[in-house]
Amino acid sequence: MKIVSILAVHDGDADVLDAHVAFHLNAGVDLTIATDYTAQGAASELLAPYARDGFVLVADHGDAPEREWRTATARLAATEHGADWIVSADADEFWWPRGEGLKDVLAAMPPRYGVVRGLVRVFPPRPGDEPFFERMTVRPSLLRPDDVPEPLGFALRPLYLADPRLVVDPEDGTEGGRRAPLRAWYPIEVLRFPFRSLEQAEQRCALGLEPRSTVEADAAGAYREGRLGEWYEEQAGGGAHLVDDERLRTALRASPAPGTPLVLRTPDIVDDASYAVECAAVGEVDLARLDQHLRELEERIGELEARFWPRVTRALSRRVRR
Amino acid sequence: MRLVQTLVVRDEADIVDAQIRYHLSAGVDFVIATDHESVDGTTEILESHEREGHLHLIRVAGEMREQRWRTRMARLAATEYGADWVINTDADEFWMPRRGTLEEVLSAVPEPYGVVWAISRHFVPRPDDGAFFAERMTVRVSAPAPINDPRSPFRPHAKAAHRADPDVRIGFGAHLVRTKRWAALRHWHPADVLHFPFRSIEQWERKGTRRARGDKPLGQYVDALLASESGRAADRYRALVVSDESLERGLDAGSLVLDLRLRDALREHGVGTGAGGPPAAFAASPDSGVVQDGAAAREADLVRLHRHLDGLQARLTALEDGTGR
Repeated sequence: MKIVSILAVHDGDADVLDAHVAFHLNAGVDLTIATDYTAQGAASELLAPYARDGFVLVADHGDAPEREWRTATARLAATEHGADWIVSADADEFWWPRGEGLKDVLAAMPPRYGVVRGLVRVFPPRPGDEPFFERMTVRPSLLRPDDVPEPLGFALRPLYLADPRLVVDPEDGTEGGRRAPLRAWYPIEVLRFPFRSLEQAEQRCALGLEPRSTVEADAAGAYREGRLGEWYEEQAGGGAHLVDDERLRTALRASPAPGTPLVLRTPDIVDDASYAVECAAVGEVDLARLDQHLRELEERIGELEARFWPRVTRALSRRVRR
Repeated sequence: MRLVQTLVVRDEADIVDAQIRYHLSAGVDFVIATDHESVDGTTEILESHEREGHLHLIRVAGEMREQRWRTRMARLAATEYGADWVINTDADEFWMPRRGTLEEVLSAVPEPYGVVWAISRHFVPRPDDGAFFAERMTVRVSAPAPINDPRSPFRPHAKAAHRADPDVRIGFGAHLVRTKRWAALRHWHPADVLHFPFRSIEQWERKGTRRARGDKPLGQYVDALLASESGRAADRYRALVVSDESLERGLDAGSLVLDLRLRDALREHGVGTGAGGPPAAFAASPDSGVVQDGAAAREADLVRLHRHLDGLQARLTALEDGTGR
């Protein structure tokens, strides 16, 4: 199995980039195709050692919109690099498999699923000068009944079964229903660290990137209103209902050489039972959504029938007339 | 009331004798078993029960055709063995009535209802000290929400029992029953199915590698096959076994519970020791977790349905693409 990651690198990502690439290589990614959006190609310089060893390719897509360049890169991964699965990542994300590694988790996936999703865990900023993974070790959870889940579009990130015709659409990982998603269980957790210092937060907000979480949307709002510093202090002060999550710190401290597999701890049944509560809290499947899904299908079948039967009738009439 | 049990089995010598003797003591009158090429002594155990006159043995070979075999046995129960009710089992499942005997709880079902479901209660593997499985596997999962991981052996589900019908059709795993004669009574569960899927590394690896190549390769079996092929079976199985430390965490969290019912039933009624006796009657279970597990099973069914619809949607989209929508 070959896993290819397609990655966007922006200004402000310098402090996470090396950790990102090293972690994913060790967790099972075989090749990262990075698109460099940094000023003066700063990312290319940082990635040069990985590129020399064949772990990273740096691509240039000019000013192409995100959907377009991610799609082009994903297709390249499928056709030129033999990808079986494609991770569509940002530099501040760490795709954490709930198993020994990404390959271990994906290998036993029933082939009918064209998309599996990662459950996003957004880590709030914490004060201090240490590297982000040393400080940012608490996050919200969904274990309490009053913990509010992110909207579905923010809560889940797709990981795609490779296909030369794949369309990478951050808004819809199923390509309008062409790909069946694995629903209600998320075998990967996406550990996301969007704001790691005030300076970096300002840099990020200035870029005007599309937010991928409520926290990012809030930060963008605060930036527009000129109160980002205040917002950052508030966030970094911690909040209620945060749980400890030191997994990334432990993994990055272990830091084996690039390409050396990290064998992560496989969750046991107690962990899975607890995670099941969070998966349910995401709220992807319920009777109302099922009912809506059925009605949409019914409508589409109706449209097909409306087109099909008149054609058959006309064809038969023509034949009879002859 | 005559209760017939059907059984599909392959290489389950460590459990099948206890399974049959338990059910005979719990109210089953007769067993129809389909043996699929067993080589570990299972066939000899089934033959001994056949000689005792309470089991009809069918031998099959070749590819696994589980639904066909289960359907054949369920129909035979109706046509040849005078069944009033049929329970469809695997060798690692023990139907435990929630009170009284199996005969009593099934007799309580009013017509026209004729299909009921028992909630599967999954027992977790525990360190293997060589003791009989029922002596050491006394912990089961009671997850507050369904584990919908396709690789997990602990996904919630239920098993169907039904009134006899010569035209009945049994679905994969006996989770579904199709009958035109009887109505389904949902959301009332007269029994638990105590389920012991993985009992030792040898049994887990053998079952996984075989079923992964069968007619419906579930993720849990593919996982075992891949681990076996890559020489990681011991590590993978170790991750499934609940250690004492995990047990403590699970008991504190309420996601694991101690359940001694099968162990005690096997001890008390001499099942497996040849003691025999009248049908075992069980006191009403104080287990409130059945409500939670029943809810989890229904939620899991919703997820299965939604995933099934996703598959249909993908096919429909392909059709629409073909017609130029």
